[in-house]
Amino acid sequence: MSRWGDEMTALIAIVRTAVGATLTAANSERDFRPGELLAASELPHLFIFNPRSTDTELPFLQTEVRTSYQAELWVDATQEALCVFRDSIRDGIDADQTLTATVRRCRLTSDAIFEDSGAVGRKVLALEFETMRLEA
Amino acid sequence: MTPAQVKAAVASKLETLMSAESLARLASDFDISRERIPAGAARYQLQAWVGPQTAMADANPTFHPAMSVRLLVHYHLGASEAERTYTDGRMQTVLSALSDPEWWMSVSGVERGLDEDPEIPVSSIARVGDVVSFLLTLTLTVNVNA
Repeated sequence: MSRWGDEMTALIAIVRTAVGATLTAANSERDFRPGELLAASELPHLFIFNPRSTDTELPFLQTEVRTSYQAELWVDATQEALCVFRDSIRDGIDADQTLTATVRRCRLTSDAIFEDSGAVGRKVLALEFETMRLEA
Repeated sequence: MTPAQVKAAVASKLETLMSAESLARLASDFDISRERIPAGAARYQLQAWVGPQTAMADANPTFHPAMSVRLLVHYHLGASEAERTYTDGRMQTVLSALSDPEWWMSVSGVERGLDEDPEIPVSSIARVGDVVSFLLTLTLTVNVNA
């Protein structure tokens, strides 16, 4: 699997642990589709997408690679439930910032909740992660 | 001995001291942007040039070349090697040897008695990425008659 793929898989594992068994593997995608089009049976649903890396050159041909990812967790649940998911995701990353030795460090850099006006009761937790990896 | 021969003797002794780290000299003594250091290996830069001559104490003073030395050693941590495994272990052994004036005075072609003893400023020990580096300075006197 690609490096970006490895990191997205590790991030999916963090989110699935935070949300619990209702977020199935089948509903956790390393891809993006418009969430409004999800069937009710596909909720909760996770998309991780838009990887973007920037490289910084270090001495002795080392490279520090920082990669950002966007994620959307679509649910049919209360706002407080999403707030709890968000806390659990943040706690999960704080507990192991290496994502089980996948990267040097991972941070949750942005999070927000918004309601999809097109689907009553359907809410989205929008997340942005940043990972750092050292390549030599 | 000539200053160049002394410099070569320093390099040889240094590589023996750090053979466990596969120590080798970088192609450049200044540039750190061109070569990769393999994980678990060390590289060094030896900046050593003859400076003003120093007078040797004798009934008939003679003047010998003084050689200012700046030695930079860079170690790339091994895969999964914790930083402190190196800095609390092997690095201490190497620093202990190199900061001992006797180590330098036993180099072929170096006079007994150094112009300036070895110094390793704590502030010179640093890590960037996975490479831990330190700097050592001293001034030795070349024994031209060795």
